Amino acid sequence: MEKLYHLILVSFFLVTSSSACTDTHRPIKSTLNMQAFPGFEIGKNKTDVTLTGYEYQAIESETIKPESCDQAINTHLSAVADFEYFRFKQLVLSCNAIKQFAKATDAQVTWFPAKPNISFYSELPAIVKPLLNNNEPNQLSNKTLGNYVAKTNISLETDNIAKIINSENEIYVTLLARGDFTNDGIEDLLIKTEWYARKAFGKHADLLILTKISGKTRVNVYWRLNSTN
Amino acid sequence: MSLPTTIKKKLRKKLYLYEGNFNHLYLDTKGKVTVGVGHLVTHRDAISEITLYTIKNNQPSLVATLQEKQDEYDKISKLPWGQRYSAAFFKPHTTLIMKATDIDSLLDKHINNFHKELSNIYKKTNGYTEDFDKMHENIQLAVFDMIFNLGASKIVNIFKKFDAAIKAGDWKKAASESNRVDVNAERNQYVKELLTTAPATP
Repeated sequence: MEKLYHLILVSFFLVTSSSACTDTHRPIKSTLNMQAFPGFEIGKNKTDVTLTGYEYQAIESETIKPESCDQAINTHLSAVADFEYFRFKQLVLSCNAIKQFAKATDAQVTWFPAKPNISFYSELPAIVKPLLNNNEPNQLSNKTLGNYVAKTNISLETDNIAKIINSENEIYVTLLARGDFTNDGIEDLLIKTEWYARKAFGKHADLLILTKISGKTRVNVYWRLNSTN
Repeated sequence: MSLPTTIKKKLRKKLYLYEGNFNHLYLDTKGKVTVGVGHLVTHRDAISEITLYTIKNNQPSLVATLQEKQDEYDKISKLPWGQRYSAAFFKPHTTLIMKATDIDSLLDKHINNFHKELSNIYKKTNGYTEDFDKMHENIQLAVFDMIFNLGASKIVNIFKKFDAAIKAGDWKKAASESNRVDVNAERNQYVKELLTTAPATP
C-alpha cells in the first residue's frame, strides 16, 4: 500500500512536470520527487516517515540508526561523528522537506516552467546556493547562479537535478517538490541546494522554498532552512 | 618554510575528525571515488597516484598494480551511492587498502598545499601584521580550519570582515566574523576559542 502511495506521488510529479507553464485556474496538484528520498516510507498523514537503511557513526555509541524522521530531527547533530555531519545533515534536511511538503496544498496558478531547463536554473538568484556566512547575501544580490562567478557551466544531471560548476565551486540544485507552500494559490518550488568546494573539503546544504508570483517577477527565496544569523 | 611537526600533527588530527580516515576506496554522497582522509580520486587514471596494497590476514600485503587499482576503482564506481551510504558500507566490496603512513603522506600533500596558499595570502607585504609562519599558533590553526572548509579565495572574498580583522591583528573581531553557516557548532566554537585566546598583537 505504501509503495502504491509512492508510485502515485512519483506519477503525479512526472505528469505535472510535463505540463506547460500556465495561468489557468485548473488545480495544480502538489507533487513530491520521491527519487530524492531513498528509504523514505511516508504515512498517509504525510508527516509520519519511516526510514530504512540510514546509519551513522556516533561519537559516543557505535552507531545511530534513525528509524523515523522524528528520530532524525530530534537527534542532536553533535551526537554524530564530525565526518558524518554532512551526510546526517542531508537526512535532516530531507525530513524537513517532507514536513514542508505536508503543509503544501494544490495550486491554482503556476509561473514556473513545467520542466525546468538549464536556462531556468541559470537565472535563479545566486542566493539559492548554500550561504557560507551572513555577509554573502549582500555580495550575491542581483546575481544569478549563471553569472555570480565567471566561466560557470550549468548542466542537467537528471530532469530534477542541475549541476552548476566553476573553478572553485560545485553546486547542485535538486527539485524536491512543487505545490502551494505559501498559501496564496500560486505554485512554489521546494528545492535542495548543495555546495562542494573544489579546492577544499567544504560541503554545505540547504533547503529552500522558491516563489514566483507573476510572469514578470523574478524567482524569490521565500524561506530557507539554514539561518545566517 | 615548512610547517612545524607539532602543528601538522594537530591539523592531521582535525582532518581525521572532519573527513574520517578510511584505508579503502568509497563513494562520497555524490558518487565520487574517495580514499584516506577525504581525498578525491578524480578519475580512474588518478588512482595511479594512490599507493594501495592487496590484503592478507587483514593486513597490507603486496603493492597493488595499476591494473588492480583501476579494477578496484571501476568496481567501487558502480556501487550505489547517496545519502544512505556511509564510507564503511563500501569496505566489504574492496580488496585493496592503504597503509596509515601512506594516508598521512597523502594528507600532508593537502596540508602543504593549503599552507602554501595561506603563506601567499598572509604576508607582511600584503598588509598583514606578520607573515603566516610567524603568526601565533592559535591564529595559524584557526585560519587552517577556515581554509580546510572554504578554500583560500573564500576567506578573502566572502569572509571579508574576518580577513580584515586578521589583517588588523584584531583576533576578537576575527573570532566574531569566523562563523560559518553550515558547519557544526563545535567546529565554529573551536575556531572562535583559538582566536579569542590568542595573545593580542603588540
